[in-house]
Amino acid sequence: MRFVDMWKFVHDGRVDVYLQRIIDNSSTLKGYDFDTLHENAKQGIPALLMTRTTPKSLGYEQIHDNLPWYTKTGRLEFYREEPEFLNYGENLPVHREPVDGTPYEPNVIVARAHAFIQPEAPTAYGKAWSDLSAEDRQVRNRVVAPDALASTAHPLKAQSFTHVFITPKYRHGAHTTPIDLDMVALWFGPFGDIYRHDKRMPWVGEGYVDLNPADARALGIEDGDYIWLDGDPQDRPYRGWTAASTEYKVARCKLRARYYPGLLPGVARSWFHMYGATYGSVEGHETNPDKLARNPRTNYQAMFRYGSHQSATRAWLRPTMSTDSVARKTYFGQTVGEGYEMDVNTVTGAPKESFVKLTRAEDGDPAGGLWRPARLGYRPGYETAAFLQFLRGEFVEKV
Amino acid sequence: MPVGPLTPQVTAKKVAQVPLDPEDEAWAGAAPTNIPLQAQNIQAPQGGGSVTQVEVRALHSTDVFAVRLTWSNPTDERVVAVKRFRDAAAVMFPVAVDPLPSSMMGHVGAPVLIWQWKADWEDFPAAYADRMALYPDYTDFHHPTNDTLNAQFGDKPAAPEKVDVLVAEGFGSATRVGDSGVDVKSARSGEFTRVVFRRALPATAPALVPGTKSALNVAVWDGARDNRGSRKSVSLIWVDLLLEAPSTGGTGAPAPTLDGPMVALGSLLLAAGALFAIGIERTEEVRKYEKEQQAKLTGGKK
Amino acid sequence: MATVYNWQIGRDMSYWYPQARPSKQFAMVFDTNKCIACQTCTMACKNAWTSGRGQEYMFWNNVETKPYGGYPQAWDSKLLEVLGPQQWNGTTYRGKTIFEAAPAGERSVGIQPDDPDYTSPNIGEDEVFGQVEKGLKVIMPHTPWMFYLPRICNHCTYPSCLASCPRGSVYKRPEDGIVLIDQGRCRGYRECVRGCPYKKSFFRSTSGISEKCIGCYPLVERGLQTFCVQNCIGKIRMMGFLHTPEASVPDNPLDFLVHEKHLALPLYPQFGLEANIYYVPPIHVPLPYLEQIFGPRAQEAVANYKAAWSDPEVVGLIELFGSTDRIMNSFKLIGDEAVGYNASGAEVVRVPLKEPVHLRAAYDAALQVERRSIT
Repeated sequence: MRFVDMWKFVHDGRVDVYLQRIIDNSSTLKGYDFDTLHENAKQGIPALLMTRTTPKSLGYEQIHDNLPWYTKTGRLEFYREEPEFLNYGENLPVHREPVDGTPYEPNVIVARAHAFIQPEAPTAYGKAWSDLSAEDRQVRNRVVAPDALASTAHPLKAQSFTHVFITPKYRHGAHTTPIDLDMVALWFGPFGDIYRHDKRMPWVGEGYVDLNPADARALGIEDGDYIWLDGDPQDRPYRGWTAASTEYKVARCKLRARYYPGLLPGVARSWFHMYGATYGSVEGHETNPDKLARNPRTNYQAMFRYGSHQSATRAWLRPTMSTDSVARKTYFGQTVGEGYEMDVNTVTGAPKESFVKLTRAEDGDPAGGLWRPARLGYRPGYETAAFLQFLRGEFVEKV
Repeated sequence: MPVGPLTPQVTAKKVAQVPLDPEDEAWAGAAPTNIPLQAQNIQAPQGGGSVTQVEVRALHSTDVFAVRLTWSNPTDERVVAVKRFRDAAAVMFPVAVDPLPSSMMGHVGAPVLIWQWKADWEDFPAAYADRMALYPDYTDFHHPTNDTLNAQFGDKPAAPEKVDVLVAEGFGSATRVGDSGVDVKSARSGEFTRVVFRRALPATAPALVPGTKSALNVAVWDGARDNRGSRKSVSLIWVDLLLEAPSTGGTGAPAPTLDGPMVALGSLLLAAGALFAIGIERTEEVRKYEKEQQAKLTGGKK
Repeated sequence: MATVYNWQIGRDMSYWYPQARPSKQFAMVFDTNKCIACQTCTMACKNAWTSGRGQEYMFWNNVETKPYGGYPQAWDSKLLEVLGPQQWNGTTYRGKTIFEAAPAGERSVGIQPDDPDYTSPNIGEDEVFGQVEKGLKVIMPHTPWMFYLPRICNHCTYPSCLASCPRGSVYKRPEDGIVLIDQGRCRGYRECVRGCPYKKSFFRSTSGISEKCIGCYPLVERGLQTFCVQNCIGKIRMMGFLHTPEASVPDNPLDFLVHEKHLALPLYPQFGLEANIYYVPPIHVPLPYLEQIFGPRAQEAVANYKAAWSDPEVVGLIELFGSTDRIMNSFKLIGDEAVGYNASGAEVVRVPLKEPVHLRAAYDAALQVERRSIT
């Protein structure tokens, strides 16, 4: 049996064979006939997934039929007795500060002293309490009371790092692929331009970071400026980087800044999706006549001039999310197993967050100064008097 | 430039060879006529007025006629964009002189014929390429049927047409009829633009018969001042046009009639007679002026 | 100039051409409370009509965040500033329309847009007016606030594009009121681009002439709703035909929402064009801004929408949004279902007022399969 043989029915133009197999082996679809579904679909007639109830009600069987939950005891469990959880200080549901994306001491357990919370100290592994390095931080268990948290600090604050950087996913795309279409990229945020009047733009749309306007001003960053986004230098943008190298030039993130009044101070946000810079896209950006950030050989199109949001983030190990002993449902089907399971009990790498430094790099306008909409007074923090009247609805009077 | 007589007349000098080149020395032999221009302020949208006069010279041979326009045009605009407009200039002739059409682009039942030069039409494809360079193509794909549509319609029908030829029966009614027999060439001379229109004779339109009086009028669009359409520098009165008669023979055949353009205009008016008709306010002054002009040319006969 | 009656401003006004209403008027209702600015409508229209060369920057349909957004940039704030204060006396507009305020030598107040104005079509996306501060609670209206405004050509009763064209290249179809630019007649003067206050006429570089939303008339002529309506994921849109208030037909969906239940309002009625895209106002936005953009009936519409759940007919009609690609000329509640009918009176769609609940057996013995909630 060769790989090509696994797809025999595709080659025969009978994909329906595979689809019917999926239907026949799915608890929510078994009973449907693919051809009937297909014919109905052509007329716009949908079919329902046959869950226990429609609309779906998670926990219906557990509540009404006394079926067990997918845990060791079959009950909802709010306490874990496994040694790993006890040693890590998460036998009770506790809050932990993020491993990097926090202005406070990273990864601390935020809880008042409690007899049940007795995590292992780093000294049990031969590490000092003062060791807050990136790797060891992941297994460092320090308990800090809630009202004491504010007097702790992320170690990078001493190096002018200021912001928690989050990289959530956005409604304009699913993961990566759809974002890199011209029209989606154009609408993906405020910096789209299908004709690229500013030739510094990597493409017709580009990555950007949202900032609280007061934060941005304090850092000397204007709306529309290009800025550098730097994560923990211990291992970002990559381990062993050196400032003068080509690799560093390709990997260090440069992107637009947007004034965003919807953010509290201390938080910066970029969207997860956009295609990052590569050696080839940077070569294109620096050698193409119109500076398009496109690999001249493969046509790979980046939406960043340099780096990407991933230059500032990394995946972190959360030991209690990758134990060998915890009970969990399998990804497919109804059995309960233990330990590793894809997307259920495993290391997750995306989306990610971190603690970053932001530095102004270039003016928003290619000829210098503010980018045009800020210059004209249409941007938060740059409003003209007339635009403010508009925002307040003051052009209409009642007589 | 010297100011011309109060009732200007353009006399087309008879020559052996009629040049297309605006800088040809033959033009020096044609008497200049300066036509004063004003802003179009008869009907909104109004505009123009930055060009205050245009010098007109005309030449003809037995079988060719040419007219040259010269005007001050410090900025040479030939790239069209969303908010950019090209330089243009037009010469207008009555299709028939009895009745004489209104000098303001004719009136219903009395059409005019217009030859319009546009800077970017003449400079095709270079000016068009300059236009499209402002709109580089970074998209993933183009839908094919839109290109089909584009081929059918458009400001410029197709290369190599260089002159826009239209008939009109009043403001707003101009309709392209085309005439591949009209040629055009422009030149820059310091801050001046010169444009020559040349056409073989006899022409079905305009009525240009040596020894017979006709009329012409001019308009200029200054692209740098966002001139286009009704926003133009215009002359509001007909200027007499006389082609020097041959030294022997009579006054020649009667003015040829106009068939093609009239049919086109007819269908234009039918198309435009939909929900919203094109209405033009006719002032008393204009009607009075037209009657006077008509009387001059037809010796009072109606 | 002629005198025409504009019911949205409650009075006569001057317009370039005499009164001539179409026999029925293409119109839509958008529920801003349900729009999530996913831009699917934008993509549908773009793929159908403006994917040609020279059309790249054009969006006959766009969705902008208010108040910081606008495509082209600041299209409305700039015009409001030029028009000056707009006075309403009750539901009668006492200020000047864009025609009445026309400067000497112009047919209307207008602004000629330039290339950079069309960049950043999604500028202002998701930006609130006012800074989010610690301790903020959600109150009504929101402070700070924003909402999404989907826009197409309004196929106005008194179009400024049509009035602006000195050669009559823009016309309004008598059979359905759709406004079109005659591609064979346009010479690219861009007076319509200047004159349209909503900036929905666009100059095309390749052809040198202008184009605009065509109301998907090839679909409308076949009894189908437009692409932007059909593709709306959130089912926030409905297209149909609207009558004047005195000729309102109560079981016609558009008349019902606009004239009978006062739920949907036109965009910037003070411009004086009698625009035909109607909006259910966002109930969470401060009233002064709503009155600036939707007119003096905004408060009433918000109150009516908040009370909508108590009115089964309103609920039924809103459930019919996005339920069919067919135009519904009339609708009716029959029992606990809402039914839509086409122009001939034939049923085109039927939807339940409440989503039916299905409870299945835990084990289907015939098929030998368990039905589970957690899969």
